Amino acid sequence: MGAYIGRRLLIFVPTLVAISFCIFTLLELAPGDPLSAIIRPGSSISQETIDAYRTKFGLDKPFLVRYVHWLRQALAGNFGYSIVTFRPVTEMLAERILPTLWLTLSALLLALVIGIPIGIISGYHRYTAVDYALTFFAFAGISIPNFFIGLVLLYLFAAKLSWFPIGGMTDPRADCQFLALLAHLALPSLALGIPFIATIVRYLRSAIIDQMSQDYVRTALAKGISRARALRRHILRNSLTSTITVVTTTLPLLLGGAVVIETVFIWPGMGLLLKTSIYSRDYPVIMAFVLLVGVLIVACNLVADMLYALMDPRIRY
Amino acid sequence: MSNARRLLHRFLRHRLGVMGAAFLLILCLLTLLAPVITDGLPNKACLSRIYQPPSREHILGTDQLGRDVFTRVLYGARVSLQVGIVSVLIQLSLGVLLGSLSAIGGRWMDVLIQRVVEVFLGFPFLIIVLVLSSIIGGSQTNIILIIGLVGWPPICRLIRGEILSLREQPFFEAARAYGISMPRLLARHVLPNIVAPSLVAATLNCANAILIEAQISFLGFGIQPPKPTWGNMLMTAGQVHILESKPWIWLAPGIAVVLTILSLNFLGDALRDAFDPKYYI
Repeated sequence: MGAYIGRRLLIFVPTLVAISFCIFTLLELAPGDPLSAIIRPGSSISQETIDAYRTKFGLDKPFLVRYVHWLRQALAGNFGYSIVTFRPVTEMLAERILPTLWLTLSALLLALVIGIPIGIISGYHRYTAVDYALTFFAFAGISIPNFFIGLVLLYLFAAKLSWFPIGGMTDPRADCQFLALLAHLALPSLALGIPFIATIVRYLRSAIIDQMSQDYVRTALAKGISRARALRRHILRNSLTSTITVVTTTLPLLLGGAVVIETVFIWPGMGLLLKTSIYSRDYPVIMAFVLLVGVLIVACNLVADMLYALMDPRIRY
Repeated sequence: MSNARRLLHRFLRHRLGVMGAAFLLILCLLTLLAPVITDGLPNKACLSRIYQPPSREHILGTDQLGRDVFTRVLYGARVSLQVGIVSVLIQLSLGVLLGSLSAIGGRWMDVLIQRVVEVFLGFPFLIIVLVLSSIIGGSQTNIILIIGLVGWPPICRLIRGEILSLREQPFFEAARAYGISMPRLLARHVLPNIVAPSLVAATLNCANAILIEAQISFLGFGIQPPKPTWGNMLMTAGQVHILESKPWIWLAPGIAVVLTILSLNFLGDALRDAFDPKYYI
């Protein structure tokens, strides 16, 4: 197991370096540098001042030199300074991680709590009216873009019914900050969670249907145990194992959704940070963000492998 | 011929798939006829008729510049369909090419291609497209190119799997034993077998491409106004007064996206069922 994890990590480091190099190259090819993003066209700043700043920020160095410098610093945990706010990138990301964690974890929780029972019902009662209705909704859940779900939720429950706040994360006037946070969290996590619920339902349903036609289930049924008991004792274990693995590996994909959902709900997380950084060509922040997502992917894949080995004694690495 | 009829029969039994196909057909017709049905000017602003709710003149109302929402939705459909179709064609060619290379090109080729595929698949697609489109600019051509060039890995993996399992089949071995050359084997025996799964994947990827374009434009990094796309029309809902009291402006393009993606997904599902004899009950 240890050797397996070590090998996986060894493979991933070059991959991360390759990703970062690709993005660094692309940012280099893009028109304009960070300085031209700050300086308004037609302003009275002289070319000498601009050049001085270029030298100061190291923008005049050759491309490869800058990349190697960045990589060395990044490996040491230093992602440099934002060229827009002049604050350390690590600090900027750190303060945004918690809101995004809140958002994605509550979406995940919602997806598991709602998705697993629905998936079980749908698979257990396969090819019945209940199953068809549930799979239809699961299909719809995957097909409806989450930003549209977000807008509709905002329109109905925030604008029309005023049950929930219309955006943001906190309310300084609230008596209990935690309750205020939950109220702000409800709609965005639902919007982020719905496609995820649908994914879980579809996956679990097909896993259960798949398991039901296996020999060991037929044997169990032939020995006289009820279908419900077969589901509880045998089928569920096997189908939940694979579902949980899939959920863990697709977890990083929630970050993509978070960019959109955070924009809709003005949720001050990493997605919103990425959006503003892209607007202002804040390279160091973009690079750090991309690398962070990469690390998250490895972590999730490793956790998925370990969970799989824990839950299924047949698996050995 | 009876094969095709059986296929059609199985497809027609999938009612949602048929409805999806019908919707897509109507949408294509409406987009083609857009200059005839409407006045053909999606960007014609008229400040004397801003924010009008749906009426007989403007069946979906008018927006913040007095432009007709129905006309804009139809012209937005053009963009979405073009993005969906062209980018999927790019994905298909790359996916089929690299997938077959990976399956038959030897071990190192396989390792290299599959590693790239893994990286692409693990990364949130939206974030890759977002970063790329912000770097090279979000024109329609660029968006199509990005989605096409980044979205091939699922198809590549699928094609690789299909070919690898075909290689194990007795007919493949028999054909090789007869001395049929590899290119000919690929063209005559492998290609017909991967048409069905590719078609299904293309349909589902088309839905995803349209979704991605809408999201990118919604975030403001995609196709820029005044050119109407469903995504940038939805962007107006960011203003609270439009979200709250002029819902027709953003509901129309939103529902158009939902129906299109739903139809494509249903169509893909129906095609899968029709092609796969395993599902034949």
